[in-house]
Amino acid sequence: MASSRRAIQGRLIAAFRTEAGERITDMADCLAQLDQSHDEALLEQLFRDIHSLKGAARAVSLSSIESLCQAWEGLLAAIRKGRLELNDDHIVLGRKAYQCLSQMLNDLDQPEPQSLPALCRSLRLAGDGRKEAAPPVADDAAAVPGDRSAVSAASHHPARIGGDSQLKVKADRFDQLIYIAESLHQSKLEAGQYLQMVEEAQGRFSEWHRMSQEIASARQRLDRGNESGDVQAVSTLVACTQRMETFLARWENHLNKLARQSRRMEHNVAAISDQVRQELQEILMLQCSEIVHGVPAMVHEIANATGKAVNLAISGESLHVDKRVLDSLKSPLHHLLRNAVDHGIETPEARRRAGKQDKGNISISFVHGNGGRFSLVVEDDGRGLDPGEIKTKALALGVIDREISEEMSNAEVAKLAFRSGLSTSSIITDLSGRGLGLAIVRDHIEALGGQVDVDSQPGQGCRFTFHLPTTLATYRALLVQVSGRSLAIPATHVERVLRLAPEALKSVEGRLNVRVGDAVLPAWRLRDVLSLPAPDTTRQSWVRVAVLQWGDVRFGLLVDEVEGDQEIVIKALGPLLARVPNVMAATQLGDGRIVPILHPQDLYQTACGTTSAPVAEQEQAGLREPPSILVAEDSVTSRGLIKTILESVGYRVETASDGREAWERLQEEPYTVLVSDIEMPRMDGFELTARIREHPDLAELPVVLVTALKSREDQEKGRQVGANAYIVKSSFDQGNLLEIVRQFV
Amino acid sequence: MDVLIVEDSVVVRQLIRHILEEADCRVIGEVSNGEEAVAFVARQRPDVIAMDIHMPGMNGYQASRRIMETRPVPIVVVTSSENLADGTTAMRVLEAGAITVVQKPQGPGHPDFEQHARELVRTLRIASEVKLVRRIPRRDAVPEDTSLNDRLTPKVIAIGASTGGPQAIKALLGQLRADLPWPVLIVQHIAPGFLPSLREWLNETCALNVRIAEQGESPQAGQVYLAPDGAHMTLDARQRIALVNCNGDGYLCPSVARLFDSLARHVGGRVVAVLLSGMGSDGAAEMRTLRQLGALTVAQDPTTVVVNGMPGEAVRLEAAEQVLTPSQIAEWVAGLYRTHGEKSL
Repeated sequence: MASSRRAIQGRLIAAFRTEAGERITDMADCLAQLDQSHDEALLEQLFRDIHSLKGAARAVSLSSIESLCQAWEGLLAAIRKGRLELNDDHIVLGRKAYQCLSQMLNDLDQPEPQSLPALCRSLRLAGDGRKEAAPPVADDAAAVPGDRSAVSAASHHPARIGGDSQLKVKADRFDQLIYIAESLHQSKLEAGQYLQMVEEAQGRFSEWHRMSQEIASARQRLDRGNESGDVQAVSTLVACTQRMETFLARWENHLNKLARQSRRMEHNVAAISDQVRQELQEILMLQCSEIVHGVPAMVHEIANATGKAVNLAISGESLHVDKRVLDSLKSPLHHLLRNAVDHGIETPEARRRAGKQDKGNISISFVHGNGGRFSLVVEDDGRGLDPGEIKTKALALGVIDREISEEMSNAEVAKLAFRSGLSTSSIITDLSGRGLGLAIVRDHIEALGGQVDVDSQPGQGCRFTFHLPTTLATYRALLVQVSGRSLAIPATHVERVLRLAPEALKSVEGRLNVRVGDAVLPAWRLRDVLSLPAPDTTRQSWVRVAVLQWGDVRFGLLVDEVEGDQEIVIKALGPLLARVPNVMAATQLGDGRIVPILHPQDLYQTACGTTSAPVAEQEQAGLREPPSILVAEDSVTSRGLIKTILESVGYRVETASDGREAWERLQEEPYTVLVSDIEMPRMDGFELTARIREHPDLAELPVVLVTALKSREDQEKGRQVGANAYIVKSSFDQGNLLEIVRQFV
Repeated sequence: MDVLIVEDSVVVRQLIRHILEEADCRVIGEVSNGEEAVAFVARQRPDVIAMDIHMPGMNGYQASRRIMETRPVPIVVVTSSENLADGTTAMRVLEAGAITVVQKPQGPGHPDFEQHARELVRTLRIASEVKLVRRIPRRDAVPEDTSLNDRLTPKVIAIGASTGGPQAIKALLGQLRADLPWPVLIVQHIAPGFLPSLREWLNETCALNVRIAEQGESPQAGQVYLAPDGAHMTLDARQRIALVNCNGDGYLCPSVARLFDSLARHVGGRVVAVLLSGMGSDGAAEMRTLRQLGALTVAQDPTTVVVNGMPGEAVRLEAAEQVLTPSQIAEWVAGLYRTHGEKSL
């Protein structure tokens, strides 16, 4: 009994830490906002938080917390009931109570603060509508208003009290997950059944082992050349062959069945996996209000400490966004707010001089956007960024040169604040106070697939906008190949993919340009940007260009192959590779390959700095005429099909409807490869091949025979007449044909 | 016993669950606000609901009303009594149809834990067994005219009540005028700590002044005296209030029996004795004695009680001369004093 009681006590304390952590954060927000407006709903919420914290403290026998809550609650109850009117004294008392509470919550084992009884008495007296004759509560160190260090000690990390982070999930979400888990269970049973089938099939191989022994001994007898034995051995072999045929037929049947069932199971499992992912993703969609928890208190606290007066407005926080996005958004948001209060908003005197209201305004808004994106806008009406200061620093660091700096607009200058070189410099450090620089803020946002934007009017204020995806779970990416490696580019930044004739690529002053519509964009070979080795031979008839775009920046990247776009799951690189140039994260493809996901903004910067600008000649050299292929085939359908397949990968294709026509064309014009049918009127494929091999100019022409015939003799004949490859139409598929043709171009 | 816990603090939910499970009760659900409670009851049927009051969104009062209007389930209000306002709200939840109120338990580290836990479980068990009748609002018929000519004028009204009592007392007192010529003595069994809330709540709606009885005072006409926590309220020979310590004398504390017994000794038949809704049989036998002495005795009409223990027993023992609803009792009392107005204590 005693041990079970200790166990429950331990569990309750753990739960208490979490609950208290949430409530104390909430209280801080309410207090900060009550300071601005005496709103009834806020009062109600504060009351409820205190009331519930009291109940929770009681359940874990923390009587000093319980009694403080009790006294505070009494005061608020009197205000709620209309017996008292909320005044500034009440808020001051409330703040003291809050500080005392967070101090006690920070260390539950500490003895209660000495000021507690006096504070409780003040709260009770205030609740009765009386004020103390003597100066209220002997302020202990933690309760001096405006003392920055003390405030921080008591309340700076209220959320930390709440141990492990928890996620609140609507119960009915789980019903769906349970349903899915049940279908998964079904698939598990099926998988077990298939395993059994496969094992049974495996067992049948004992028959084959017996047979192979018989065959081996029959062969031995044949080898020894004993005549009477020969007859016996041959009849054994014949018998074995027959048995083997039945055995294999049975096996084929069996394999077909297994394949069919496996396909069905694959289908089911895929559906379940998709559902689970989708459900979990929806569970992970939280209201943006999650990240503004604690924000009003923080803003209030910094404002107090720096002698500013600030109104904070929050809007759109009911928007639902992926928890992982929100989590990573927290520190950038805090950073911006800190900047805004500390450096953006002026002191009341300065504001008055500038003809503004004493109280500065800061607004946080979450704005729903299109295509699964949203924006977080943090705006203040303070002094704005100083373009002169930024410019001076940027010049000093050599980030820009004087000529350019003269022409830069304020908006362009403001954007410089995000440059990493600048963020560590003194002016930006001044600008950002402490913690992360703006460059790191930008990195945070970009790692989420987002963009940052800043708009600053000197003297009027500053607006930061983060454009972000609402969900992270899956991500579309363009898979490309460069120098034999697969790489992924976030699809959100890929405007389009082009297959261009080499002429579309222009070289201007040693730099490449590509014409896209009416625009001429700068272009680089991705291989050069990433300093990858050039492949041995470039047999490219087309240039493949991915056009990347974000904000105003558009540029082309030349790649070797485009594998297509697909959904990928982002895997972070881990703390050891926190920041790898040009790489944002990695993903694992279905076939197990690990593919890096490129960082478009980084790529652009690296590309701009690529001194060895790709020269046109080098480029053109790799881009010779597309190989031309002659297809000889009498069936219109087959001819069309083969032509289409070959053209789809960029070959130039001409056709002939029989062997003779093909022969004539071959003499008129050079071709890289001939693809020919065997059975054709007038001249068949064998004859055509034979003639080609005898012709002095054409002898080296690669010939690929395609036929419906599936006979060994034909194949042998094809080889004899000098064909380079032989494809049976029944085994004919696109990949197969292309693969063979590629060997000869 | 299947219990639904409605409570917004995770910690308190865990504590209550632990207490209930230790006592072999089944917690079939935990929800954190009123809306969820209403939705839960629409899907599943607990035997009893442990209901908190202050919750975000729909609070305990609103939720209880909704549940009692739609799918009645016995509700026990679980709240702390330190705060008068909370207690009064708890009383209002009783009016909304909750059965009774119980102290939110102290944690396992507290010396009172065991006792609170036992009390919580006991109260929930009692409530879970209450058969809820969907109340059909009806006009109270005027009670039959009782001839009082051959009866002695009453000097005092004494009321005994337990589970379901606060609601009935409020209905009864609410209809009495401030110039009532007799004092009213009430013994109401209630969880320790809730008495001030009860008084506050009654005072909000009654014309009469409701107070907690003090040692040695003489009951005054038009005043209502509630027996305090932890003591029996009796009248002594000089007809002053005498509070007697409860020390394991085998009675509930405070007990209706002790009050009625002292009235029988010192006031005789000049008493109006009333037994309202409640578990058990406290005061029924003593009411019979009073009736034999000529007192006017009433039991609450079983169609209006939450639990028909005490009034039912009074009827069974033929201790009750009349069986009336609370507002009928009020009218009947008013009728009495129209005829006997001036002749009180």
